[in-house]
Amino acid sequence: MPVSKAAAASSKRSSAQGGPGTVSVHKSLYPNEVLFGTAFAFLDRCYVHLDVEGTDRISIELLPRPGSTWTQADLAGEFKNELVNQALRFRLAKQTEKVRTMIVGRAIGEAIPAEVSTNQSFESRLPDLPPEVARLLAEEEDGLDFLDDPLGIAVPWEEKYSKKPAESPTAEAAQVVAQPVEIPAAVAGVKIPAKKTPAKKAAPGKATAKATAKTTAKTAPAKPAAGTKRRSAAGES
Amino acid sequence: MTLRFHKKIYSRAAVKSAVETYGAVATVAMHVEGEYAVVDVEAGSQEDTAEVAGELGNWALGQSIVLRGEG
Repeated sequence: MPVSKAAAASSKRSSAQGGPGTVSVHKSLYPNEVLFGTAFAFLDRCYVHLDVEGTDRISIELLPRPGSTWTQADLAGEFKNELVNQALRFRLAKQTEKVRTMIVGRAIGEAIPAEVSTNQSFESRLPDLPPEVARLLAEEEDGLDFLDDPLGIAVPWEEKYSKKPAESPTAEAAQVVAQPVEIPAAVAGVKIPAKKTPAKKAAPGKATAKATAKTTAKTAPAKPAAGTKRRSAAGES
Repeated sequence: MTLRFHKKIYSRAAVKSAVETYGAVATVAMHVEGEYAVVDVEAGSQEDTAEVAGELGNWALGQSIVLRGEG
């Protein structure tokens, strides 16, 4: 067995004095960071007590809690396995420290918005635009004020298309009313009869009696006098 | 029950914190002997004393790890 493996094996031997729940480790193989990380993971499972053993070793005593199903031997075995796990994590963390720092630093740096300088050209601020469009926009932006209206979009319609400049809205209305309307000659001579107002409707009772009297007078044929016929009839007999 | 905490592993502040916390449930006294902080724990029964001593030791170890920044 190589010397290094033997040393490693001896560094993790269980001390006979401490009992089955005691583990002794060498500082060179398992640094303090590994040891404390492992011990922290076992605080909820059992009672953990660390002590210095000589100059280079640390002993760990593991005692099961009251009512726990774990035995001291099981706890020691699990603790040794966790030591290996933590040692590997520690080694990987050391190897990848620089890369992780760079990745995190770049991610944070990209998350911060970059400040845009005032002297930066328009084209550089919008790199996705075609160069001709960018040039036209830059030219417009240079001499353009937000109050300028070269196309007259902000001018009201009435102001734009009215013939006479209107001094006031009332004067304009008066002018419209005062203008006489020219009537054509063909239309001027035609007399338009006045509209007859419809007869007012009288009270229902009187109106019907009068109406019927009038209608009967008009419509009924003229009857000869009653005496004439009778007289003739009487004279003859 | 007597507990010994080495100063290279357990910070003094962590041991003090554990003594203050479990002083409410048991009789706890602390003194310094060389490189060790010695804590005497006395509860009602032997089982209670062992349980309090174990929990006190776990508290001191956990606080020491946290104060180191490794927990």
